[in-house]
Amino acid sequence: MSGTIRLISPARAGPIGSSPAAPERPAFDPGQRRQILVSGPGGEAVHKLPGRLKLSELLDRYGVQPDRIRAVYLGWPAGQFFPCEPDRELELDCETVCLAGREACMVDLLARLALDMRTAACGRCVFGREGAYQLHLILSDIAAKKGRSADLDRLTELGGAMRTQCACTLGQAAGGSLLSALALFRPEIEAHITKKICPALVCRPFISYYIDPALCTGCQACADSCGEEAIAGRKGFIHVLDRTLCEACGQCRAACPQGAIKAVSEGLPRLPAKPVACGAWR
Amino acid sequence: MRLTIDGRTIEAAEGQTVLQAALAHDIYIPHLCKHPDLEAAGGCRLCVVQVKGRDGVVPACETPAEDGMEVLTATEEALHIRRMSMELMLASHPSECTDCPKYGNCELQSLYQYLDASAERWRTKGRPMPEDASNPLIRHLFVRCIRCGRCVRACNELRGVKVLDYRRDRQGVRIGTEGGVSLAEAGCRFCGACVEVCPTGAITDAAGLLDPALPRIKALVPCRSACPGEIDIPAYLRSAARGDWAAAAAVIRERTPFPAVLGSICPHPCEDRCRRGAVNEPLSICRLKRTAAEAGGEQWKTRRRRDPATGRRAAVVGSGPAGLTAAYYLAMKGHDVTVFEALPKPGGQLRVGIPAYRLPDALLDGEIAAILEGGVALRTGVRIERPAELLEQGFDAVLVAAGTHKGTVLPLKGRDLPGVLVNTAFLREARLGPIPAVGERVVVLGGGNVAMDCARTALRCGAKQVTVACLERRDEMTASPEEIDEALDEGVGLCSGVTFLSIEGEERVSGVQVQEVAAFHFDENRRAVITPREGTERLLPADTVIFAVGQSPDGAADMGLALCRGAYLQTGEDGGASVPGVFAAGDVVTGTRSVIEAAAAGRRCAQSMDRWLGGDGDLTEPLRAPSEPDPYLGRTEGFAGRKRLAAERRPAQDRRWDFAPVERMPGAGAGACEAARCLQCDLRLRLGRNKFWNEYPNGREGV
Ligand code: SF4
Ligand code: SF4
Ligand code: SF4
Ligand code: SF4
Repeated sequence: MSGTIRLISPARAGPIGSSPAAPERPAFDPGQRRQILVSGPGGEAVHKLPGRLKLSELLDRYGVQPDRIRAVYLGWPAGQFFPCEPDRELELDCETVCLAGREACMVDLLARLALDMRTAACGRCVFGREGAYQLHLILSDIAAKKGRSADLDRLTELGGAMRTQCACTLGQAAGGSLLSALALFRPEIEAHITKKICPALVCRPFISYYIDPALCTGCQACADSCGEEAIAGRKGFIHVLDRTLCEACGQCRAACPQGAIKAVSEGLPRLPAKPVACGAWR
Repeated sequence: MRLTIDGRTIEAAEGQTVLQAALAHDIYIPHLCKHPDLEAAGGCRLCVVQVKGRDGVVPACETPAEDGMEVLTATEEALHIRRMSMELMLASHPSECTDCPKYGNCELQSLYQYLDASAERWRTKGRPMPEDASNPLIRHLFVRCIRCGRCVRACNELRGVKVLDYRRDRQGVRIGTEGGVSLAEAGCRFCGACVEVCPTGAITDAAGLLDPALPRIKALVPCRSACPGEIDIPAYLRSAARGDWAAAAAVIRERTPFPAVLGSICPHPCEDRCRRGAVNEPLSICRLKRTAAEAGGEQWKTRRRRDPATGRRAAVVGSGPAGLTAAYYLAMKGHDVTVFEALPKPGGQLRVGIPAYRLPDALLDGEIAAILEGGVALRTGVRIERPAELLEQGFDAVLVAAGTHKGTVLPLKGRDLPGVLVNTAFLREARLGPIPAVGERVVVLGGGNVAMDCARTALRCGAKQVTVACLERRDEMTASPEEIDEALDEGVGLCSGVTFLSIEGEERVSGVQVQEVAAFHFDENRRAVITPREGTERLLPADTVIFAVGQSPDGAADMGLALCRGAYLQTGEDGGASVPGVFAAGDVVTGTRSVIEAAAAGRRCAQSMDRWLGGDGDLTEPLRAPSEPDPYLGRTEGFAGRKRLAAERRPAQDRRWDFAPVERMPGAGAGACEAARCLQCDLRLRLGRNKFWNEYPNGREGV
């Protein structure tokens, strides 16, 4: 529904055992074409790509219009965010590229990224291990509407410390990823914390569904689809959704042939309290 | 090279890191994942410092000291990173310390107090992990683990056992064995290095393992602290495991001149305390002494050094383990020593109390010969009635170590009948000859090891049926389980839990009247208070009855020396008896104890006597080249499961007829295998420790 990036199965885990923390990687050669996993609104695909190319070429290869993409993330789980500027020259010193679609919520994406960082951390150093752990706890709290006012400062502090104090490049890069995300998406994250809204309407605790009385035909498809029995109504009546029961799963929204079910994260319109005959509501 | 730390100029050695140089000069820089015996890992970032001319802060543990370097340990950034690291560690750490086994002795606890750090700025959430008390000796409480990796480095790099490592699970990274198998299955050597280096309560000694009555270093090597002779057990086992039996023999000989004797008959309290017992079975510590004595050769003699003659003379009354041990060490200190023995042969209880099938004459003779060779004169067949008179005959000090050669006879009716014998005399005759005559049916009264010796000797003297009768129930008997088993195997009968009413017979013994006991205890005068079971009286038919219910000094009362507890010689702290210049040690002072206790008492007394004679009382005798144990144990597959070397005994039907040795002692090959089972519990004592901040002058000043 949201068109967010399908996350790549938990990243190539860092090394484990008493082998050195950072794996030996061959030096980056921009002239060499390599297999790169690109994921985005249209799913995952492997492309053979040169080490350097324009973002527009990458989007072309993947098959998506630039206006459908809001940010690009190079690397996984540690990497760097870039805004979607088609002329930007990219250096693909990574194995994966993530294209965050217009519909993506960056808090949701970052929380999942942090979970992968947490599981991929080799565990040798405090800032890598506990840093990623805190990142995940803080970001998933924010996504769960439990953000605290100091969280942005904490994240900034953590990102900076991880970038300089992690013992291996993986952890340092994780700190860098966070800082690049904060630079680009700070207002969106802040909205989750202070205004308690998810502008992309992805993070469920922020979402309120309602049935637009002007569009509902009383077909009952939504009520049938709801597992929580949160929708009341009879045939030919405008249906009414009880938000105290709704789990924001989005089933009804998919079921409604009229597109009458809508989501907001703030400001509900005036709605009937009980089902009324279609056409009777003004 | 010289560098300055916070303005103080210090000298650093080539190859030292900034942290090492600082600590060496008693300048405290906080550190946690660094341990003196382990490579730096740079993981905890508590030791970050600012180096002038460089960007940011760097971990001092990984920064080589350089000439002219200027280091600042407490810049704002360093303090910030340091405290933040601690906060992050605490955020996933249990918040309660008081129920932690490491409470009060924890590096983490001390450091967060020092840094005044708390986790409250962060999300506090632990990573649950149940306590694991299923391993022997070692308790894992990984919920308190801060993943500093010290245990991993100790187990892998220092010990080479490679059991513990970082493992990944759903919660992230933790410490554990591969696949989460038990330590034993993973190949652990139970060396305790991980316990020793863990800064937190995550890896500790199993609850209740260490004897709280002992100081830590003694409690950690329980075999050595259980040995009355303080023999360095792990050291000789280590040499033996290498096949270096000469060194093994030397280690034992540094503490006693009786390795082969002890290796044959010591009751080995060390084995009861051996930590390997918790893994599977204790080491065969005792028998390996005998192997060492035999396989070790005489190389130790080349290092034996007798001090120059002092011109002082010492007399020793009694040639048992206490007397001969003291005589040997006094001779080594340069004194002129004469041992007086009332019996025709030396050895005391070793000679006449312990049957030859347990301690053959040849073996004893060999060990005594080595003592005499050290410069001890022996006069057998001389009974000294009044030891103090020896002082008048030109001796400067006298040791009374006359032992307990008078067997106890209970005041039973019929005790004077012909056919009633007493342990001491009976065993003495069996040893010195002629072999005593016993009847066909023998009843031995008593439940200790001496009773077993009497019973088995009676069999060998021709008895057809031998029964041991005693007050204790089988599981309460003071005889060691092995000796009871050996006796029963040879056909000795047991009638336990009975009280003796009378010895029956007209002209000769015809039996012992006994009655079953419902309960008994000893009163404050150590007299047995017995509740018999009504109507259970019965007669054990016998034509010979042997008392084996105890023994006491023979003639001590007439020595002209003060007594205590009735029959025993009274001594002061230093072993001195009531007449200055006269000392006493061994069973004649303590009552019947083990050979090693008597020998240890003899050694202690020799120290006092040496001082009395003008020496320094130092009996230390290095008999081996100094050597460092190899801390790298390496992997040994199936180490934990390796079985204890089984004793090889002649079949009971064969051995019960003669006095030839019952047990075949392990040879050098099998012995080395057995010795290699040792956990080397002393190794971990060689590991250093991180001093706490308050042990440094600048640490006490605070952050
Ligand atoms: S168990 Fe102890 S030594 Fe090992 S990583 Fe954890 S805290 Fe460090
Ligand atoms: S081998 Fe030693 S360091 Fe390794 S787990 Fe066993 S006891 Fe600990
Ligand atoms: S490991 Fe140390 S800091 Fe942690 S609970 Fe135990 S005593 Fe406290
Ligand atoms: S394992 Fe070795 S060092 Fe440890 S108690 Fe047993 S004999 Fe002594």
